[in-house]
Formats: sequence, C-alpha cells, structure tokens
Amino acid sequence: MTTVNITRQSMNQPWGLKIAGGRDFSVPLQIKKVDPSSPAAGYLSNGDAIKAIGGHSAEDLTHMQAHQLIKSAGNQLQLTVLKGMYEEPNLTSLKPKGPIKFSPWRNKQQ
Amino acid sequence: MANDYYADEDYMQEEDEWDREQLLDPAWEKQQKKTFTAWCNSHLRKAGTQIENIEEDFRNGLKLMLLLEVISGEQLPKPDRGRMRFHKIANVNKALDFIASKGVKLVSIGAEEIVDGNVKMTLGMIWTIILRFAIQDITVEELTAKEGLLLWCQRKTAPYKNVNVQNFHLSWKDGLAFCALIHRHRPELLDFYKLSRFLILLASSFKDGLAFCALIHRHRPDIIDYHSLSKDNPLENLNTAFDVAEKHLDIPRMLDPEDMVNSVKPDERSVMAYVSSYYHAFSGAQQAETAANRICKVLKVNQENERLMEEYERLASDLLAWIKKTTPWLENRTTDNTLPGTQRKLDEFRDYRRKQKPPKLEDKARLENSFNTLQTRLRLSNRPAYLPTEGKMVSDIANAWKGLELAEKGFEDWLLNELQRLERLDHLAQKFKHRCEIHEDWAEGKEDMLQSQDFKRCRLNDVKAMKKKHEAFESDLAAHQDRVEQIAAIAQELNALEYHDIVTVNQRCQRICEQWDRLGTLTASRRAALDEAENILEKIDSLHLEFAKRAAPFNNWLDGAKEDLLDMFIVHTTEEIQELFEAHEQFKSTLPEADKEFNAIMRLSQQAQSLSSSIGINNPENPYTTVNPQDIANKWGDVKQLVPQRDSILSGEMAKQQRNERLRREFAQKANSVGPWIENQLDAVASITIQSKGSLEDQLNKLHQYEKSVQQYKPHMDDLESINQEVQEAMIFENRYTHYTMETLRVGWEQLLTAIARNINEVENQILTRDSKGISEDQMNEFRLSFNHFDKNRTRRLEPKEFKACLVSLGYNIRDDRQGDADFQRIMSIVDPNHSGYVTFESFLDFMTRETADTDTAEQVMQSFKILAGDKPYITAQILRQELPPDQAEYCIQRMAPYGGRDSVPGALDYMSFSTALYGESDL
Repeated sequence: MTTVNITRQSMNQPWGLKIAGGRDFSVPLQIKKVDPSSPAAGYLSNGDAIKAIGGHSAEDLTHMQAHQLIKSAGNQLQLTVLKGMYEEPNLTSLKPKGPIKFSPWRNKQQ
Repeated sequence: MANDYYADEDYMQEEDEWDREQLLDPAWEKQQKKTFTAWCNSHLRKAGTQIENIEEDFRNGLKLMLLLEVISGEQLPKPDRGRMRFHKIANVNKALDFIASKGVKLVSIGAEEIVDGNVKMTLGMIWTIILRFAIQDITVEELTAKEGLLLWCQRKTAPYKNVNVQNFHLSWKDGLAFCALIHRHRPELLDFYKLSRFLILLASSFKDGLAFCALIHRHRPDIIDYHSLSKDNPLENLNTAFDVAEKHLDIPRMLDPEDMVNSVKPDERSVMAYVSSYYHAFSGAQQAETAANRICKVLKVNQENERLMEEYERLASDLLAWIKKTTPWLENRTTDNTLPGTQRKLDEFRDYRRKQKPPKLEDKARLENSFNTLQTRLRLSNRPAYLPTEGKMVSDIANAWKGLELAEKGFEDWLLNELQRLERLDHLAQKFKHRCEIHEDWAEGKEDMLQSQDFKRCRLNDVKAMKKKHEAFESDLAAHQDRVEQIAAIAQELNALEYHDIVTVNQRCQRICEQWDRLGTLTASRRAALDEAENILEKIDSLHLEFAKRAAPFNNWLDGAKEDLLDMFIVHTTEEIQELFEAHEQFKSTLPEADKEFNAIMRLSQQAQSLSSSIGINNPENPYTTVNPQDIANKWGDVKQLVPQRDSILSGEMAKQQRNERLRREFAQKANSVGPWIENQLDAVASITIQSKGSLEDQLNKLHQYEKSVQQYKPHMDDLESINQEVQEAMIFENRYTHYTMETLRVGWEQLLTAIARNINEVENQILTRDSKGISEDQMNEFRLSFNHFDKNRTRRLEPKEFKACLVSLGYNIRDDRQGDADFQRIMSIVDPNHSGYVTFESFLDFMTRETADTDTAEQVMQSFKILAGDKPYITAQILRQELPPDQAEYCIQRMAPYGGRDSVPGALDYMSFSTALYGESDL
C-alpha cells in the first residue's frame, strides 16, 4: 500500500489521470491512464488499485462519489493505492503478424 | 461513391428522355441558364471573377478550369494561353479530363461543342459539375445523392405541416419549402426579418406565407392561428426565402420567383442546384445533428442494457425463490401412510412436472440467454462486463437448479413404490379381517360350551359321548392352531409394514390370542372333568360315531374350500392369473369325489335318524359331533354356489390383465418412435453449429425450422403423457416392451427444447457480433474452423488448455514457459471476466475481433455533448430537450449533476461527468 501526495499549480490544471470502476460498476476503483508530464505522472501508473482518497476509504464508493472526492480535493490530492493491481494486459506482442489463418500443426511444432 | 454516381446517372437518363421534348421549351432553358450562371458565380466570386453569359464565357475553357479549381480545391494543369481554336479545345479538354478523373463519365459531351457555344451541351456539362461537386457528396443513410438530398429536405421540413417535399420541381413552387429550410436552421433570421410583415399579411388576406407562419407558430403559438392559413401566396413566400438566403446565408438568388410561379413545372436541375446550396450552407448544423444522433444511440444502448439487467435480476430472483420454495417439498419423502393421501401427492407431483416446472425451465433458458445477450451487447458497446448481484450469478442459478433436479430424482419412483406398498398393506389388512371373522365365528360360544356342566345330569352313555365329543373338539382346536398362527403372522407383518390403523389390528389380534389361551386351559380342565366321569358313563352310538368321524373332516374341508373360494388375490401379469385359473380348475376336479363323500355322510345321518325313530326317540342328538347334517348340507350348497362365482371373478381379472398388456404395448410402441425421434433431433441440432459450413443466417434458418418441427411434434408427447397416465392409473409398474420411460422421454424432450433455444441465441449473438464488427463470412468460417478443431468433446466451450492451443494455432505467440503462462492468464482475464473457467465461441469471437470494432468511448460522447452545448463545459435542460428525443432528454436531465465550474449559470448540467460515468471512467 502506497500513499502519494500530488500537488498542482491551479484548479484549472487537470490532474492528468483517468479513473475507472466503482461499486456501481462492480469493478474495483483503479487508475486507467496517467498523462505523461501531468501532476500525477511519476506518482501513479496504469493499473494501480485506489484504496483511499484523502484518507476516505474507497472500498464502497460509487464511481461518481470517487470522482467528486477527487474533484473537491483542491490543489492537494492524497491517494492511497496498491501498485500494479489491475495492469491492463498488453497483448500486441503476442498477436500474430499479418492476417489470422488457422493451422493446427503450429501446436505440434512448439 | 462512383457507383452512387452511376446510379444517379441512370436515373437522370430516364429524366432525359422525358426532358427531350420539354427542353424545346425555351422557358426551361432560360431558367437553367439563369440558375446555373448564378451557381457558377457563387463560386467564381471567390476567385474574384464572374460570368455574364454561360454559353459564351466558358468557350475558351479558362473560366471553366478556374471554376473547377475553386470548387474542388485542387490544382488543374496550366492552361494554354493562345487564342487559337485548338488552344481553346485543349483547355476545355483539360477541364473535361479533370471531371472524368473524378469518376464521372461524360457521355456525348465534346470539347468542340463547348468551344462552339452549344447551349444544351454547356448546360449539360455544368449540371454534371453541380451533380459531382455539390450534390454527390451528400450522403444521408447511404442513399444515392439525389435521394439523399431529397431525404434531407423531407426531414428538415417534417415539422412544418403544410410543407410536403416529394420532388425537386412542383413541391417547391409555393416557396414554403425554402422558408421551412431556412427557419429550421436559422429561426432568428426569418423571425427577425419577417415577423412584422407577416402579421400585416395575415391580417389582410390569410392567404399566404403558410410556411413562415408555420415557422412563427412553432415559436410563438400565441400570435398565429396556424390552422387557418393556406399556401395561396407563393410569390411572397419565394421572395422572402430568396431575400433571406441572399442577405444572411450568402446564397445568391439562382431562381426567379416569377419563373417558379408561372412555369407549369419548375426545372428540376435548377431547383436541385439551388437547394444543394442550402444544404452546404447548413452543413454546420449537420454536425450538431450527428452529435445528437451519436448521443441518442449511446443512451439507447444504455437504457436497453439497464432494462436487460433489471430483467435479469428480476427473473433470477423469481426463479431462485421458486426453486427455494419447491426443493423442500421434493425433499420431503414422507406420506400420511394412506392410499388417498399418497395418490394426492402423486397428483401434485404430476402437476409440478407438467405444469409448474416447464415454464420455469423456459425462464431458466431465457435467463441464461439474456445474460449472454447482455454481455455481448456490453462488449460490443465497450461497457464494463455485467456482474449480477451476489448469489444471482448464472452459476448460482445453475447450482440451485441442479439441487432441484437432485431433489426431484427418484421422487416419482418413491411415490409409486409407496403406493404399491400401501396397496399391498390394504390388501393384507382385508385378509386379516376376513380370517379374524372366520375364526371369531368359530370361537363364538366355545368358552360357554367348555364351561358347561352338562355332563353332570347325563347318563353314562352321554358322558362317554361327551368325552368323545370333547376329543373331537380338541382335534378341531388343534386344527385351528394354524389359523390363529396365521392371523398372528399377518398382524405381525402389518406391524412391520407400519399399517396406519395398526392399533385396531393389534387389539383384535390380542383378543383372539387371549381367547385362544383361555380355550386351551378350558379344554384341559373339561377333559379332566370328563375323564373323571368316564368311569361312571359308557355307551356310544356307533352310527353317530361313524357320522362324526366322516362329517368332521368333511366339514373342515368345506370350511377350507369356502375360504379358498373367497380368497382374495392381487396379480400383475396374465401369467399369474393363469396360475390361479389352473389352481381353481384342479380344485373343481376334486368336486365329484367330494359329492360322493357328501352323499355318504348324509346317508349315515339319515340311517341314524331312522334307527332312532325305530326305537322311539325323535331327533336324537349325536353325541359325537357338533357338526349337524344341516350345516354340512348348507356349506356344501355354499361351495357349489361359490365355484361359478370364482370362475367369473377370475375371468374378470384375466380381462383386466389383458387390457394392461395392451396398454403396455401401446405405450411402448409410441415411446419407441418418439424416443429415437428426439435423439435424432438432438444429434441434428448439435451438428448444425459444429459441422455446418453455411452462413450464420443459414444456421439460424435451420434452427428455426427445427424449432418449428419440434413444436409440431408436441402432440406426440401429449399423447404419450395421457397413455402414461392411464398406465399409472392401471397400476402398471413394469413394461418389458420398451426401455424408454416417461421420465427419460421428458428429460430428452426438455434437452431438445433447451438445445434449440440456446443454439438460436448463440447464433443470433454471433450475427450481432459479426455485423457490428464487420467480419466477413470467410473470416467467420476461419474462426469457427479453429474453434471447432479444439472443441473435441463438442460442448461449444473451450477449456483454458484447449483455448491456449487454439490461439497458438492461429498464430499467437504464447510461449511454453512462465512468461507464456502469465501472458495466457492475462488473456483469460479478458476473455473470461466472470471466471467461469471456460471460453464460449462468442467470447472467443469477441476477443479475436476486439481491435477492429468501432466502439463508442466516453470521449466521443463527451465530444458530442460539447457540440450541442456550443463548446461550453455545461449543458442546459432546454438544449437537451431541443436536440434529443424526449425519452433520452429526460434520461439525461434526471442523471446529470449540476455543473459546478466557476463559469456556471443557473440550471447548468455537468455532461462531462455524466459521459464518463456511462462507461465507468473519468478524466480528472
């Protein structure tokens, strides 16, 4: 469990992060995307599970409740996260190159 | 695009034939010249030039090339600068080549005719240019350009009741359509420009400006009585529209209002050229419409998904509640131990099996299908997967259902066994009662007799006789020992089988046993008393003795025969009843012998009687026996009467058994045809999705055909059910003519229904996926081929191991090490988010095509709202109601939070958080 404190210059500047999930979606709250060179960059990364927002437990929050809590944080945002819990699988390297064609003997070669 | 254009050309050729005569009319040529000139100038002015005379000014090809550069935004080859005819021809040819390079066939238009100033050719060429550059790119719902433009006009003027655009000539004559088009997009122009004028107009004539009044009415219903208007002042309308278009929309006048009104039929090409300018002027507004359409689409998807989720939850709750209510009833294997009570329970079970369970099974299939459909829809619309409420997962339902079927298993057999047991018990109880009655009849008065002091006043002879009589009684008593034992044995069996009225049975049995004991004691004491008297008394009547000797066994035999003839039985086969028949026949064969014995005994009695009479004693008592001749005669009569009665009972039972045999055969014959039919259908249905190479639609068609034929087959099942009920009611428990039972057939039937419904749903979901992702039939077959190859046990699911092999065979680079395992786990987390432990064809398909799909995202929806909101970070309820259909507008207004930004206004709504919440994602 890691607690990070992020600051920004003004209320007009976005934190540069995308959150996803919430109790109402049956998906745990998590960090979905972090813009490089934003206040959140370096502190958070894609796939971190959000456990608390400003000391408020995130366990039972709906998506909009979490959204509002972060919105009302002012210029100081404190988040408690579990790093890398829901890292999005990057499958590009596994995908076949070129058109997808079925050849059952590929298994036997392996 | 080129195809659309040719289609349009074909259409125009038809028009041409019709035009040929009309073109001779100089009014049409005049109108086209005017309109096309104005159209060309509306573009040429951007290059700082104009034309005056359309057939003259394009002759050297220079302005023609310039026009094409302006409208296409592309560079044409450098024009030849010479003034010679061949220079002009070369320039015109460059223009024509450019047009041709845009995919347009220029049929019969030659450069020389243009250079020569041929009016018809020049107008034809300009029309080709208008068609290609101003109209062809108009696409509304993939119609041809002309139809597209027409549909656009119809949609835009739809709210104006007296405007009805059907074509590009007569529909525009009264000018209302033009006004409507302008008002729809820029209401402020017409209201501002014309309001006062129209009020005067209305006050004076009420004849004209219908469309404008419609427009005004739409905004200020209080000042115009719309229904009292008519379209009788076209000139005013046309002038109004053309003025506003020229001044505020920068569309030059291309048509002449007088020409429009005076010509029989306005020139279609001119009207189209002019209307297309409106389309382009308003194309900005088009963007808002696209945005509204996108939002609408997304919201409709959401509403439908929410509805499906609610339906799923409701169905799941209902089904679980029913299962929870029903299972304990099935688990309760007790009866009230009576036949009627048990029969009632069997009726209840039949009702459950035939009426209550089938609709619930349908519910269950519907539940699974709607779950799959919902997940497919969610995947296709890029929404998070749906997780049902705790305890309402598909697997929970399946488990609960399994529990129900487990509880149901053997219930019917148990009930039937119970019935059989109770019936046997009932029979046994009857037998007990019957034997008791016979015994009690026999025992009646025996105690008094044994206690009698009769011998004290008798002569020796009599006492001797009494002793003999007593000895006879003793042997009779011994003979009855067996019967009492049998009664006790039956009582014991009734106890063991828990007969419901066992108390009465035991009391009666006890009474008999106690009496039996007393009789034993009394017999012993009487014997002692008689022994004592024997010394004093002796003399016996030998004739009576002989009678007594023979009458007693005969009497016993009579009792036994009577008992046998009244003996009750229960049989289940014709063989058993046959045995009873044979036994009875054997009994009958002994009757002649018995008849002889009867006559002998009767003769003995008669001899004694006559002998006594001869010595003066009337009605001499036979001291050796209690059996009197009259009893024997009566009983013999009874027996002779009972024989034919027994004959008829046995025949009746034989008929019943033969009827049962017919029922068995009837059931077996039907079951032996229905059973294989169901099995064949099951195989055929299973093979459709596995082997078929045809398209999904073919599969769906086939499945629907099977569904229909199964529905049509239902009467056979109903027939079987009613035969089965007859079978059960006839208490038939075995059938050696078929290995099918009603239970196995019902299960097969339900499997068949479920399999068809599930296959239809799966194929429909595949079609949904295929269509929304644009997968070709070839690619689809490729996916199916690989999936089926690894689906070795034909469950249409892949185990994780099989799925991995499948991916590898399709070229996925999943290595055979720890990294490969980790990669595969990540893939599984996408393909099987619910952790069901297998991969269906649908999720496999979804995975293989996930990147090609054009899905909506939160950003796209937000962008669409932004367009409606005019770039503001908030939106108002008014705008939402104006731009979206009522249903979707209210959906948004209810769910959007108030906008809290610094630039907020009263009633501002936060569309950004709303959009992100739709997808469960927020940018912060």
